[in-house]
Amino acid sequence: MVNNNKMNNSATEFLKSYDALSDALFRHCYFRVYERERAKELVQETFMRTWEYIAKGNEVKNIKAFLYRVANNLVIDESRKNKPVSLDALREGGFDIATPSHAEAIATGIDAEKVLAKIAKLDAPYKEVLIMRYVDGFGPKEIAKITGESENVISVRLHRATKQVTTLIHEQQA
Amino acid sequence: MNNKLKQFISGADKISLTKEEKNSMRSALVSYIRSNPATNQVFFQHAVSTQPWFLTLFNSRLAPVALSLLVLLSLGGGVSLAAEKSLPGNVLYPLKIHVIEEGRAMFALTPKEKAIWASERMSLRLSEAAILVSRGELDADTADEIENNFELQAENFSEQTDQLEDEGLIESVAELNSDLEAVLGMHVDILKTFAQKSNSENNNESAGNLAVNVNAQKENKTFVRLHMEERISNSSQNIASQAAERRLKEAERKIARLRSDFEELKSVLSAEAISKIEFKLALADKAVADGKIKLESDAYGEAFILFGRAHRIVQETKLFMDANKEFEIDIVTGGEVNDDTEDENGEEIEDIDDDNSLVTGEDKLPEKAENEEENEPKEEEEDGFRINFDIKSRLGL
Repeated sequence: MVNNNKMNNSATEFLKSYDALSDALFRHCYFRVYERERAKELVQETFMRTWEYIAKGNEVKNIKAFLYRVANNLVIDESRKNKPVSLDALREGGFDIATPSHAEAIATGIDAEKVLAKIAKLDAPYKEVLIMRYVDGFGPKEIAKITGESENVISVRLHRATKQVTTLIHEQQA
Repeated sequence: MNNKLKQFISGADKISLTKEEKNSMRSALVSYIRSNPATNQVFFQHAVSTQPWFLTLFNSRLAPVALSLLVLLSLGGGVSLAAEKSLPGNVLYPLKIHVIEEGRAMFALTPKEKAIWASERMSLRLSEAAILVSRGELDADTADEIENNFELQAENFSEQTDQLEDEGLIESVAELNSDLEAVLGMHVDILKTFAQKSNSENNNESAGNLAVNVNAQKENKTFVRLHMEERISNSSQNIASQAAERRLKEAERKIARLRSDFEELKSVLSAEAISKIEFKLALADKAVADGKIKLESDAYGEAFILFGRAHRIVQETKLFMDANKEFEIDIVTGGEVNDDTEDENGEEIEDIDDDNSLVTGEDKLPEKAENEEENEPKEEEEDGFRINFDIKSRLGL
C-alpha cells in the first residue's frame, strides 16, 4: 500500500524510470513539437498517464517502450493543432545547432542546422520515424512497436524520409 | 548522410531538461503518485523471498524450465547431447532451445552476460539455418521458426543493452553491438552464398529472406554502435582514454588468438580462403596501428573507433574461417555478393555502412601489412564474446 509517507516498490521503480528517461523523452518531444515548454508538458503528461495505467493494476513489461508509445500518442494529438516551425524558434528554445567541428563542417559542406531544418519540414509520419531513429536511437522494430505499425512499413518510411531529407539538402546546395 | 546525421545527433544530445526543471517535474510526479496510489505491486516485483532458491524457481515463471531440466536430468546425458546437436524440425529441437539453452541462460547473471548469451543464441540460430540451406532443407516454415527464435533473442539482447545504457555503461553497449554487428554481417554473407549456390528455389528464397531480415538487425546494431561511439568520443578525455586503452588490449589479444587459430586450420582451408583471411588480418593490424597513432596524439575517441573496427574484423574473420572449414565452401563476403536486396529493409541507414567499409566489401589491403612483423601477446584470457560456429561439436555434423 502507498501512503503519504512511504511509497511502494512500484512507485520507487517508476521514479527511477523518470530519473533515467525524462531527458530522453523530453528530447523526443522537443524535436517533435519544437517548443520547450510544450515538450515539458508532454513529458509530464506522459509520466502521469503511464502511472495512472500502472496504478490501475496493469502490467508494463517494457517501461521504456511504453513511455515512448504514450508520448508518441500525445505528440500525434498535438500535431493536429500543428503550428509552423521556424529555426529561430528552435534557437530560442536552446538548441545549439552549430555543433559540428570546423573540420567536419568543412569536409561535408553541411551542418546539423540544415539537417534539422529539413527534418522539421517533413510530413509528420516521416518526422516521427527520423526522430525516433536518429535522436532516440530506436531500431525499426522498436519504432514499429511504439507506433503500432509493421516493421516493414517503418523501414520503408525511414528509407523514404532519409531520401527526402537528402534530396532537400542537395537541392538547397545546388 | 552519415556525417550529417552524426552531427545532428551530436547537437541533439545537448537538448535536455535543466536540473531545476527536472526536479520540479519530479516533485509534481511524486505528488501525483501519492494522490493516485497503485492498488498492488504489478509493475515491479522486488519482494525479498524467504524460500530456498531452488523452490523459488518452481514458483516463478521459470517453473516450466525448471521442471524440464529435472526431466532432462532424469533422461540422462545421451538425450541431452542428442538434443544439443538437433536442428529445427527434429523432435529434440524444442528441448534444445527451450530447456538446455534456457537452463544455461539462468547462469548469465549480469545484463552484459545476458546480452552475450542472447547474441550467441542469435548466432546459433543462424548457424542452424546455414546448415539447413547447405543441405537444401530450409523451407519457409523452418525459416520462420528460426527467424522467430532469432528475433526473440534479438529483443532480449536489446533489453539487456538498454539496461546497460541506463546504467551508463556506454562502452559495454558499444562493444556488444559492435561484436554482434560483425557476426550478423558474416551470417548474412554465409546465407547469401548458400542461397546463390542452392539448386532449390524454395531453399534459395527462404535463405534470401532470412538474410534480408538479419541484415536489418545488423544495420540496427551498426546504428547503435555508431551512436555509442559518438558518445564515448564526446566524453571526458580521461574516460575516452581508458576506454580506448581497454579496447586496444582486447583487440590485440583477439588478433593474436585468431592468428593462432588460423595457423592451426590453414591445412584444411582453400587457397582462396587463406588469402582472404590473411587480407583481413592485415586489415585488423592496420586498424590497430592507426588507432595507436591516434592514441599517441590524444585523439582517444578516434582511437576507440579504430580499435572497435579491428574487433569487428576479427569477429567476422573468425566466423568466416570456421564456416569455410566446416562447409568446405568459399563464403563470398561483403562487396563480392550481388547485394540488391537492401531496399527491402536496410537501405535507410545505407550511409552508416560507409563508416563500416573496412568490415564489409570495400576493403583495401594496407600496403605495409604483408611485411609487418606479427605481434602476438600471449595472454590466455577468455574473450567476452564467443562466436558459435563450431558446427561439428555444437550441432553434430
